Amino acid sequence: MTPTHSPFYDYILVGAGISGPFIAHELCRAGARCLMVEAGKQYTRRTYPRNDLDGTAQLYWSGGLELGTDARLVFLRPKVVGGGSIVNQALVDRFDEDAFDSWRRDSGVDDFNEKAMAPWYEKAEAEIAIQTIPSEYRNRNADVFEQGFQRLGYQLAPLRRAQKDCNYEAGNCCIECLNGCRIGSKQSTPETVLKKALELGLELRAETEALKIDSSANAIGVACQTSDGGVTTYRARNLVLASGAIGNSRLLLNSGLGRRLPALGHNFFCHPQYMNFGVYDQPVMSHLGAFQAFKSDDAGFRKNGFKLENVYAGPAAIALLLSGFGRQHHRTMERLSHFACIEVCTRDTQPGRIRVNRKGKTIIVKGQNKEDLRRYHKGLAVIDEIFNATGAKEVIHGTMGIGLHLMGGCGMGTDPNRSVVDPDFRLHGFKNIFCADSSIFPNAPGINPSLTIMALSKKAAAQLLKDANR
Amino acid sequence: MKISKYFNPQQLRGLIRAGDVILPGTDVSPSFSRTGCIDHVDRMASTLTSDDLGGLRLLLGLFRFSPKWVIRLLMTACTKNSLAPGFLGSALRTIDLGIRGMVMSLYYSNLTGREYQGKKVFDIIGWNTRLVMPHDDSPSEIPQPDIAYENPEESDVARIFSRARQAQPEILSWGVKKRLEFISRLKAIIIARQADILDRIQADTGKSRTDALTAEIFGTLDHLDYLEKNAVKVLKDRKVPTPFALMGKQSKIYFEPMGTTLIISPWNYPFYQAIVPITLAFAVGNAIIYKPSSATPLKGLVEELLAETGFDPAWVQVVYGPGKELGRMLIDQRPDKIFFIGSQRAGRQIITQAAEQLIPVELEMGGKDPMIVFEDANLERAAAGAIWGAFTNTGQSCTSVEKLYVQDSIYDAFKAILVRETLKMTRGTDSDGESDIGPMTTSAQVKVIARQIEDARKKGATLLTGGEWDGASAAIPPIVVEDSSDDMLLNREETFGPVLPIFAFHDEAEAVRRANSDDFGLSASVWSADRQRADRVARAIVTGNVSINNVMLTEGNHALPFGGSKKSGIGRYKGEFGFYCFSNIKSILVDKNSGKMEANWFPYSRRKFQLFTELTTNIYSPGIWSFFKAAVSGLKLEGYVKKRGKTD
Repeated sequence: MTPTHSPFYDYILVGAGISGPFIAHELCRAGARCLMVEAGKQYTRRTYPRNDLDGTAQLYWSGGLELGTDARLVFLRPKVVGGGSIVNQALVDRFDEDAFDSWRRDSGVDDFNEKAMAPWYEKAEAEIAIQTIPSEYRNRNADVFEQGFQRLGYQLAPLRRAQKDCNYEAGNCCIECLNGCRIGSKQSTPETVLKKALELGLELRAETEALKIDSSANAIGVACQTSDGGVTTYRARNLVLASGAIGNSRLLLNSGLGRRLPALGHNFFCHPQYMNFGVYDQPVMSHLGAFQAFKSDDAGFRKNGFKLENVYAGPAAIALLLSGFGRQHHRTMERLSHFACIEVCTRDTQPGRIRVNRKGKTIIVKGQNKEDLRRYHKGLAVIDEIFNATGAKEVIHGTMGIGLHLMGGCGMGTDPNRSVVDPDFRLHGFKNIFCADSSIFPNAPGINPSLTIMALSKKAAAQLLKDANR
Repeated sequence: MKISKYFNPQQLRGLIRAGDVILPGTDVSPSFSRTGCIDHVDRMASTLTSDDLGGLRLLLGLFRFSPKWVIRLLMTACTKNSLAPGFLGSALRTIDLGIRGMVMSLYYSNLTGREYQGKKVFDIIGWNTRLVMPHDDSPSEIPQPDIAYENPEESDVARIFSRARQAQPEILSWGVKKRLEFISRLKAIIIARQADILDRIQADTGKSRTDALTAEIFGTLDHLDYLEKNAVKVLKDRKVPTPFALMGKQSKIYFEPMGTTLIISPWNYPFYQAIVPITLAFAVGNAIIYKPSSATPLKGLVEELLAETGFDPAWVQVVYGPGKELGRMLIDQRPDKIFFIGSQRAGRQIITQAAEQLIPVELEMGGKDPMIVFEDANLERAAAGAIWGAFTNTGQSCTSVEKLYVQDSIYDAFKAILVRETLKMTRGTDSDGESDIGPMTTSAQVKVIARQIEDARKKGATLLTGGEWDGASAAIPPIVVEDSSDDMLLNREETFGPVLPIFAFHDEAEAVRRANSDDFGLSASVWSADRQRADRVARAIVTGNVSINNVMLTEGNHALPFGGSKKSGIGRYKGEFGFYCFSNIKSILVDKNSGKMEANWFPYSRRKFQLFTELTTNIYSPGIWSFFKAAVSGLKLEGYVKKRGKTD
């Protein structure tokens, strides 16, 4: 072999969110030489931002201001080592048969079923600690949620969360960890598989943004903007795309692969979510203590394409969601501790599209059709019902929709004209480019995606290693 | 309001206006502007995309000049965005999210400005979350070092320098224009606080209030004004012509900072000599470590003013301590540039130590400045000028007149006026501007003067005024000395006090010869109605600065460079040259990325040598014919190089 200036890798992984570290961990365990590039910064327990201003500015693309073309939805796209697992609320649910049925229908991929996925879910769950919140630590926001559901006869269930040691007895408040968990309880990838992968020799370059890939030769070249502003090209035998729906689509489009992959950027979904508040006479103190103890578990909700979440957010986000301004707004915020909060999360059916303009900037076209709005309003009506049944004096509907689960754009499927990734996680027509993150979702499952991303990544890693040994 | 890297002052005022429309405050909640949360705007702006930032800038710039009801109307329209169709609706939603997002994030992140005293926003809305670390690796607060250091140890000094080096790229990233926003604000703060600053200067130096006002406050403001008007122009990248032989290439000059600059200032103008070099070095983009004289440290004043302006503590760090020991420690840390104003003795020590480390040094040291009065000068004016030039700041100026040469034909008449006017001078550290000169600032300098006067008296000099001085009191009266000679200490060493030796000369040649007779060469003045003669003499005197028919006035114009010749100094500062003094002047030559080879590169050959000889001769011979011949040889040479490249 001729010596080269920059090392040659077996795999380059673009993105250090959830999928990338799960795959890298398996690859490194098998002795592969891996490089992971991540546009975001690497924080530690000591350095995570501590308020909404720094959190949104430092942990998200565009400082948290990413909008679709019609500006009806804000997309919160994490940009940090650990990705979604740093900023999410650590919900880990398996998909149900309904979700897999619709995936099978849209993709033609037989493996999308509960039985085939079960072993991969098990492997994924083995990497993280999963808990439900003990009843004695549920906060009053959870009480309102439970009471409403019980009074109205809806089904709810305790929420499975990827967390280990929240130290609730000391009065810890989950909301503090939305900008990164400073006590290392949340089972983010830097606390779990990424840590292990790094111990096994994974090379991680944070603040390094992949700009373009060159797949013309046998080896893949990835041109990256490094933290010092320069551009470096890394080379490897294989490439794993793990930068999410928008990141992967943008990278492939900017690399001029749009023509070879006709479905690239299509079928983008985001589970639009809307937070709503009930204002009570007594203080609710939703910001205190354990967070989101319950989820809705109602067959009727599922059939109607929405679910309800018992969430909360920081004061800046809440202030922004409350429409309006001026003295009236102050008066509302001065009563913040009297707020309970329920969010409706819709399973969107209108596919969006991710494109890039001539300058390489991302453009997100994501509308909501009548059915999506119907689902939203249906959920909203239940929320009103719950708030009224529990004695809320006033109900405030948050105005802005938030797209948190960014999925699709590189959908998996058997038909190269309608999908981007084949059932073996390989880009159609490419030998050595792979993808297993949320961008391969064929449609919106209506369930939080992170556990399924982990499971699919486990499956993909096994496939990659099988290929490599062939 | 802090200076923002991303928004100009107008845009910030626009944000304040919009913020106060959105969050006007109630009896319980403070208004947006009152919390001072806008000081943290850069924390948010730093991660925005350039498109978003551009949009916000435009909008905020408009808000600056919009009446509040217009902003209110726009924000109301934003909340009713669903009524607006298509594009207009998305535009309104984008504006709403941008403006309200910014205002809410700033206000509801519990951030406040430095001066805010009221209740915190989190307390008002009842936000009292907690997070107790179960692990022992819980974050510890990193202590922030202060801006100023007193008698630092070796390890402190190392920390000071590493902090400056870390901060310097940040200073540079602000850009000249943004750095000037700091200069403008500093200027406003000095204007507003001048009485207070005068008190501080007088307390440390004892000088008269008018001296402090005209030299230190007025002079400093004048310099800041010069920076505001000229820094962008001077520090801009410059294109220079590229000669014929380098045709097709581009030549440019970049003005970059040196890096970390050490500024050591004297005690005579402690405020002016602090602010002027600090701001000059900062405008270029340097990080600064400033060491004031231990005699007049104005302790706390400079850092207080800079902090009020919004300087980051790491940008300019002030170190206090004894000159010799601390100076040595500071230079040991290898600053990228040393700028020194002070005595020859200290200057020599600094340059010796800097020589070991090859650190560039700028020295501004003392003088023994001559004043030459010809017979055709206006005597009343010249005498008044001599008195001011010799005694202002109690003679404690490096450019004060220390030798007065008067043409013999007018000597007696001039002397009479000089003595008469000197005797009228008032003395003391005043508070109302009524005193001409104050006492001496340092007792060490009083001793120097006592020694010189005693020596002069012993060797036969006459004191025309000030004979009553006891040789010990700091309140030295203005002393005019006659019949002194070159062997007296008074005429060999710098005096730096209110002492003026007066001499008669016969003609121009003698005046020039005597003015050039010592080792100093800082400044001089020539007084004559004959402008040609005055100019002739100004050229003939070996010195850095000459005022004609005035005294010490070159310093009054900040566009003029300042510095000494002979043993009075090395280098020039102020004016255009002042920027260069703190700059790494970088030459850039740009060629195209083509396949073309240069004629002067290898391989050499006999034929190439011949062609080059032809080109060299033709290019530098005069005449149009040679020009054509040069063009032909150039083409021949190029053709040869091209062919060679192919055949090889």
